[in-house]
Amino acid sequence: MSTESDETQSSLKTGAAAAQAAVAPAPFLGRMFNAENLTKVGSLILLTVLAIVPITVYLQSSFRVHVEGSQLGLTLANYVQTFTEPKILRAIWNTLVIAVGTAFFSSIVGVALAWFHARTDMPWRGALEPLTLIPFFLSSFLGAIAWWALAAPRIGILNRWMIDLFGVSTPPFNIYSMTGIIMVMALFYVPYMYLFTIGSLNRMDPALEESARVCGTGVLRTALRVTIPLSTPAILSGAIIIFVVSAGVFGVPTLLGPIARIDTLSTVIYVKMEEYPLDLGGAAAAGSVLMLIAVIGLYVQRKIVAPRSYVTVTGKGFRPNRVMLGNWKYAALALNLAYIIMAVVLPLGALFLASINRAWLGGFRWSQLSFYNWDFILFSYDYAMDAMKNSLMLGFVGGFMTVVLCTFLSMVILRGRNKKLSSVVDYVATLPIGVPGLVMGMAFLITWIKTPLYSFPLFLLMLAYMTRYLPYGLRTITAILQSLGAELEESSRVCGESFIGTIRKVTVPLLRPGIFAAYLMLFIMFIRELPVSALLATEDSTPMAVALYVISENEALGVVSAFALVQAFILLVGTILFRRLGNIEKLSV
Amino acid sequence: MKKYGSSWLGMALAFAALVGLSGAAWAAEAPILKSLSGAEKARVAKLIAGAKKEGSFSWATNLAPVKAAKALEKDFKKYYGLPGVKFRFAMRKSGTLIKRFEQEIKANKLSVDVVVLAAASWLHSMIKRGNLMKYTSPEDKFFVPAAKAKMNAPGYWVADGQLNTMAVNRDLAGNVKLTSWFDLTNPKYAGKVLVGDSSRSETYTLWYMGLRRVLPKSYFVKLNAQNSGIMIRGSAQRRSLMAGEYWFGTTIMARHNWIAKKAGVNMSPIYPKEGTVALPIGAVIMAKAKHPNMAKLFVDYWRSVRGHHKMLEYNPLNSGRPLPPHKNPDINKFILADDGIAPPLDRINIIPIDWGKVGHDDVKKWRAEFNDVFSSAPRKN
Repeated sequence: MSTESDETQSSLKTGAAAAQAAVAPAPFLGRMFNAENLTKVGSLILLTVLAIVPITVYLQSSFRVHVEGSQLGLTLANYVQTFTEPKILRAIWNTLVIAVGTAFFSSIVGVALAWFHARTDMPWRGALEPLTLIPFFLSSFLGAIAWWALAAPRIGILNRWMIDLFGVSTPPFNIYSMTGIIMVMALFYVPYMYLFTIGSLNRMDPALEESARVCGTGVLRTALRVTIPLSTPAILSGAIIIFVVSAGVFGVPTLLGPIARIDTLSTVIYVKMEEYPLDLGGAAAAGSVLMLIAVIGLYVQRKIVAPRSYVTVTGKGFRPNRVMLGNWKYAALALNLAYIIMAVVLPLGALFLASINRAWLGGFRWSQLSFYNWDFILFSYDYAMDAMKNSLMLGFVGGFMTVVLCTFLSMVILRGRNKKLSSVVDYVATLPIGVPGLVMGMAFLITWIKTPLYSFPLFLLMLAYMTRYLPYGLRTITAILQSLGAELEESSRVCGESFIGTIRKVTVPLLRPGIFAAYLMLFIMFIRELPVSALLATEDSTPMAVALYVISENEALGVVSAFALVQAFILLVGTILFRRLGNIEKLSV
Repeated sequence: MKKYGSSWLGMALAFAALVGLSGAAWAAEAPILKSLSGAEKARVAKLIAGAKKEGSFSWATNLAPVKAAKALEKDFKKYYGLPGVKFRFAMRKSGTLIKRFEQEIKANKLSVDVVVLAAASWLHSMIKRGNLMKYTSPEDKFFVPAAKAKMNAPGYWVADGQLNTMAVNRDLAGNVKLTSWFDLTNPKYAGKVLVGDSSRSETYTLWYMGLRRVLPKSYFVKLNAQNSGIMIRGSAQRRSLMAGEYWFGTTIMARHNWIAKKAGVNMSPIYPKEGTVALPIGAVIMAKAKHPNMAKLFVDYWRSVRGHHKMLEYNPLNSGRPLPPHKNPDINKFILADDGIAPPLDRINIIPIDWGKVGHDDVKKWRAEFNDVFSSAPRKN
């Protein structure tokens, strides 16, 4: 069978080469204005409207000093302040430590879990996958609140248990620390890495691993030397995105940082953006550091990934075999369960206990048992219900539009011959990731307030979400596309199928796991988005994240917890729905 | 045929009755007019007629929760005989609202008529730039306590107060007697005091600036040395005090004591003898408000006893005017009493601050001092 397949492929390739050779060299203008270049230029124009204009507004702000209601001439003062003020320099250092720590730990755990689920015979995989993804349904800010209830030195449930059970004199856990911040963030970013890598691992031809095993290489060594390196594009994409995004996270350091006097770039930006007169210039200059980190990350990724081939899906057929772990499968299961306990059971448990106590007095009290919080959220608070409807609309429709755009852009970037233009499209589409949400929201507001779109706040929110989260969808889909050999599409073209027909019949079906993973990721992110929504949403377009903020300001922890759990439930149902819609057994298969 | 004919007739009659009833509701004299006479009655009637033509109204605040806003809207519509006016409301952080409105003003696309905010520096800047409408409500003359504390901007707003003051979780601290800010430096309270993070919040910087007028820097040095915690968001401070992580807050707003009380935690404010900082809350009309008649009526209502009493049913507010007792005895006992959650400003020693003269340089100066004092983290938790 495989010999026949090889022969067919070989003859197809020969045919393709002959067809290429038969084409005479086109004149210069013909080469410039071909369909590929025009598509790429069109994509660049679209990205310019969506991303470049707001980012330019943002960057030009960094060269201005803003005073009451106006701005002064061009200056470098904001950058001078950013790179000379000790407090900001300390914040940059803290940010780097947190981002590196978060990316490192979430990558290790996320890749390990993805490998267990995609490539090994670890038991209970089907049941554990949705549980492993649950932390993704909560914002890291809610995670921080939950971990505050668990591990605050004086009142944390875990600390109290440890003191009561083991008689330790001082609380063993201190969530108000650099370690605490990194731990909370890493726990909540593991699903990002999982989603980034599982598609690529699932699509991998097991023959590569089997060859290694036949040569006498052990399971772990095969994973480290063959499987993981072949997933480098996905892992690097995930790690860089987690690094950049965690550098811009605001909620966790805001809640857990002050007691230990830990400032980060995001808290510096927050201060500059929240007072009057608004220091947009200072915030943009500080935010530029984050954008620089994103650009460097992308550059490094391209430098490492570009020169090598990561094609793992070719025209050859394969049977999806799993690596037999033997007794080690129980160790894998134990690691997965430990993660679920740390990232799901403990924080959601804390939120649940808080939700059934009328007041949270530092631990669950039977005397406080009450269903008031649930009754309030589910039956008495129209505002929360309206917000849920808005969020679902934004998540489903906006997520779909974004995933279509991301799929198109992925093909523009990875297929075709003009690599330089592809790189430009890739860089431009990835830039929004480096702009912190607070500053991005402001840039959108400044840009779009002058257009008629401002009268359509829900549509405006959708555009803002699309731009902000474009890089996430794009990285997920390009990572999968990178692992698909172009020969399948070329064969289709040689056999007479049109460009569109090839995309429809070959590329999209092969990309489907990645597309659904990206859609799900975007759906969840859209529902959780806060900083841009807070600025752009009106009363009629208020999404859940803004409602959650309003609730957290005006209600006790129990109500906040009940609403957070409702949000997590909606996202869990959404995930199941996505799996049904995609007609897929597992999330990314 | 006959059957369908009578159905259509019935529907037509019902529709006519509905139109008639709603028309009657619009046409009937508004309850407020019954209590007025002379020029004031004519003025309000004219505003009501104008408001009916405008048909809608938009306001925003960082203070009133959605429930309070809905209750105010309902009562206002009933009292002013404006059942058909469409209300739009947004509750956001003051910084978020300011950012949005500044851009809307620049783009000439203002979406709000009235803003109710505790953001004195922005409000004064808005006056300087001609962005606020001059309006003196008949209610303004009653805001004498706010005027004494220099919180008003006559012709633009009269102020209620946002007090960020000392609070104690009495379920944990018991009935300790606290009358002075210095009581918190008692060594037995070491590690139990929580301070708002002035290094990251303008509100708390202004609180620090105000308190420094009556307290020496050494007081705060001592607070920090006693292992005091610092936190940014008021909601986080509330959670912390309710859970017993800290016992005493120093920058707690009335709303947070109220939320704790509703949840059954005995958290109560203290108004120390040295004084308390009250940030002015101004209800102002934007110069380019699209619905000026509605805006004026709503500001009249907001500043009235009726408006204040309605607000107190849903959200505590330190009134800038003396208030008569509320019909609900619980509100009198828990909110309006001298030691209540939000007594009017005439019952509290407010530190006078000329808010019109407080600028960004002051914020920078006092923030730098706060950073200097609280730069080192507590040794133990």
